[in-house]
Amino acid sequence: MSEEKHQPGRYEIRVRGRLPGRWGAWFAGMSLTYETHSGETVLRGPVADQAALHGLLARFRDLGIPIVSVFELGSDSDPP
Amino acid sequence: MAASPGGAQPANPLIEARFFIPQPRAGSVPRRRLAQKLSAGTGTRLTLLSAPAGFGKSSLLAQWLEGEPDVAWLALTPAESEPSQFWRYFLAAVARIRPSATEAAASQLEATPAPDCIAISRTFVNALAVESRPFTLVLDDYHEVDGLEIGEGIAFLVDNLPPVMRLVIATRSDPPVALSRLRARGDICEIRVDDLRFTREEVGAFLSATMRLEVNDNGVASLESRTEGWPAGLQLAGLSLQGRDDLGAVIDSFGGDDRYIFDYLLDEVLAHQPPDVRQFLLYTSVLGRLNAGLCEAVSGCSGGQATLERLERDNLFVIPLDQKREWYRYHHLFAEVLQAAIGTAEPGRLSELHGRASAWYAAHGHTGEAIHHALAAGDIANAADLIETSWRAMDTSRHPATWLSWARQLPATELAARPVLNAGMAWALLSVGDLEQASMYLDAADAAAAEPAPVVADHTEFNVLAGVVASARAYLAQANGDARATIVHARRALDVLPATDRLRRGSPSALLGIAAWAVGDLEAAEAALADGVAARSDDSRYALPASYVLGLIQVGRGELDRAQRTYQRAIDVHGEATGQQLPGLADLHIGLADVSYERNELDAAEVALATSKELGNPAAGPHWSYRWLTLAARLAAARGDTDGAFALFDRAEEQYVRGPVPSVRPIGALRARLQLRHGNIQDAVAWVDRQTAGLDLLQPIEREFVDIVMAEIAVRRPGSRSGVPAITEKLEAIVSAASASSRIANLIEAGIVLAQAYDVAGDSARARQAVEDALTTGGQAGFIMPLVDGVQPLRSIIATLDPASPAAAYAATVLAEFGPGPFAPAASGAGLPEPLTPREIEVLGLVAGGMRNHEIAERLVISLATVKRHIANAYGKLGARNRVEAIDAARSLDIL
Repeated sequence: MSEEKHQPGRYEIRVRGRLPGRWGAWFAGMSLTYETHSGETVLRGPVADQAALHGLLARFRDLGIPIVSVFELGSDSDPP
Repeated sequence: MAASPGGAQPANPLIEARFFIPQPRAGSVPRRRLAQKLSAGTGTRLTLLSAPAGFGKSSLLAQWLEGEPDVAWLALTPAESEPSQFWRYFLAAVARIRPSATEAAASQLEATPAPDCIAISRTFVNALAVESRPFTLVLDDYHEVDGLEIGEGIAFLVDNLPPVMRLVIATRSDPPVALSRLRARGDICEIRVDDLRFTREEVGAFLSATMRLEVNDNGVASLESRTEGWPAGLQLAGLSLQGRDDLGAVIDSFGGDDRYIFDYLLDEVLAHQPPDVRQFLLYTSVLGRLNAGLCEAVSGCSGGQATLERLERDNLFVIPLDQKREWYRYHHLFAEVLQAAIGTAEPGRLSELHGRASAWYAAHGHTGEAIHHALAAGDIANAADLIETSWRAMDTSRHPATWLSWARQLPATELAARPVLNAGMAWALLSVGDLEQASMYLDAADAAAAEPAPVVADHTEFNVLAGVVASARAYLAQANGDARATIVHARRALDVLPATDRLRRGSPSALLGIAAWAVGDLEAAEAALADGVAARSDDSRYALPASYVLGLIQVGRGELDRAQRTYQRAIDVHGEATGQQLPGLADLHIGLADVSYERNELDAAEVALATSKELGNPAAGPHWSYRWLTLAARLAAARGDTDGAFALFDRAEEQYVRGPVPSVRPIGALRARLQLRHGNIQDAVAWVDRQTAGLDLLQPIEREFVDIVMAEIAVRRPGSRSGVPAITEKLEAIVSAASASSRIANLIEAGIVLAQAYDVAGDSARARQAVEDALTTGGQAGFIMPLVDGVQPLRSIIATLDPASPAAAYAATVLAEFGPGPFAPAASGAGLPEPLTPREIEVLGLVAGGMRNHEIAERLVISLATVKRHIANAYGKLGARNRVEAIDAARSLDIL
């Protein structure tokens, strides 16, 4: 494995269906936005490292929520 | 929790609920098309049900396997993601229906605290080779444990599985096996999410039969499209429809809401529950499994059992985990969404609930779950307390890897302040073979203990910490081959540990014993080992290997009877009485064979070796195979089968594994001596020439025997006369040191060689004294074999002994082993390229006397095959084709 530095990054995760905003706390404090036109919920927020990202994705898997896409936003693109 | 060993409660009990085969629910929808697909997949390497949560994987398997007798089930949780726990549960699951298939792997797992998953998997597969009755193993929720190591073991299993076992994996994520290759070969029976979706007919059947709802076709179609045939979603929809009059309108409202359906429907369902049931559901959702008492403790609601039974009856995602309806669990998906709901509704509540669960589990002896909930509650100090106080019991029951997986979840800062926890880390790491890390934690334990206010949960351990750390340092030193440092640390441990603390004194006294043995102090070695064996007499896993070592030391001291009792008692107490075949039991039979061998009771030795081999794998310690082969080689040599002996020595050397227990008769030295005594002086000398580099690596007790053999070779090589004074001096030193420390076995060996050296130098008076001493010592101790082998060149000296002396009497006993005939190969059969062995000469003499083979076998108490082998060897050496030629040749060479 490479000596990769796991600096906390920001991620955008799109899932199918509407997930109410109150679920944000459950997903490690990410912000939740529902897009009516696509019928997808967009989660944005900080993810500590790769392990945390995998944990987050496993949570969608365990809830049976289909994942549409995962993007790294870079650390400065969104003000906290 | 008390850190006392051997309490009533096992430290790491198997949770029975994991093995429970779920029963199909009354009124569940029959999924015939899927059951047919599963049945058609018989004979494929892997049956895989891979789909997200709530798609009815377990329910389908429960339906398909209902009433099947040959099924083992293992429902996995994150607690089994540590490999040794995983395999423990895996083998326990199979053992319920095929115990014999798991014994070898279970023993291997017990013997190797940090298991190699592929090795365990291989042992299991090998044991399956003799299984004839087909069976099925289901690994449910495999995604909970999927990691690199366990994955490798499973991949190996899938690749090598014989058809007798059908492996079924139900998981939310594909396991790490080469699925595409299996698919290409048609070697997989696969059921995925689209197979598992309810069809419209199944939706209708589910609503009417399972949920007892009357829904019209439009409603069914609408629910099917809204849930996309997801069974869990449909069940929740059914629940929210119960008790409603206006089903059509409610179903229409589902369609109008695009929220994540489970979240939406759960709100609906919860809204229609009485407040106490709602609280019960929300609060107990943090629990991996449920029983009445635990639910009451966590939820604060009374009537736990009635509530659980009501939830089950109402299809509220509660699944029984045993026949008695004692333990239940929530459907994973349901629990997860409930937890999300409580996490958002009452954010502070979760850690309180986990804290209550932790306290309940700790009070009921389920340490692993108590630690899990303490960590989930964020109560690091409590988790660390639980881990610290569980160490001694986990160490005694040999679960160091599981305990390590707990301790490694703690933050470094919490660990650093706790001396006992650091000492536990060190011991656990020593047990799994990580010496370097262990050494670091020992230093950390000392550092933490030196702080003004160390954090301590287990005060019993803290009071003896200095002794526990010193014991660990002794272990580390002996593992690194530093016997002198071992003695220093072990003595310190025994100094500071109370004399009554038999448990903790076991390890340092054994280490002190092994180290004392290694440096040649057999008296101290025996005392220390005997103490250790007595102190841990109720711990078979300790007493078996320690008794073997104790017996070897007693043989070294010339105490053959005592050694025999040591071996026999350990076999009786820890083998016969327990009915278990624990590692080290087979080695004890090698010990018995060794005692018989030294007494020249070759048949008894052969029987004991055969018993040892029959016990075989589960009862064999890690050093069993080369120990067995070495003694088998010596036995073959004593029987006159020299070629067989050399072949066995070669195999023994291949199997040799260096360990903390000294090798008092190194294989190379035994082989060189056999070469020497059979006239192959060049190879023996070549062995001596190869030794220079490796001698420093030998422990002193190993070195002593090597020196004796090298001296014998030096004395007997041609033209040795000039070197003899130096050799004689060396042997005199060995004899006097061995005599002073009562190393009787080596004293006899060295004394005989010393007599040869005097004889070669022409000093017959000293030669006579030396051989007389060796015979007297051997006679007192009952050793025959070293004398039988050694006195052949000394026959002329022996003839001059005072016939009334005990030595002469014992010489007669020893020499009687050969029957009539000449002894020194040089005197008989000179001119033969390979001289006949004494036994071959004896057999040939009986042949010449007209005895038939089976009569010879009876007379000499050896097997018919052995008689034939001796005869064949004798013919070969004499160049004879039959009896008459052989007897003629032997007579003409003065052999007969």
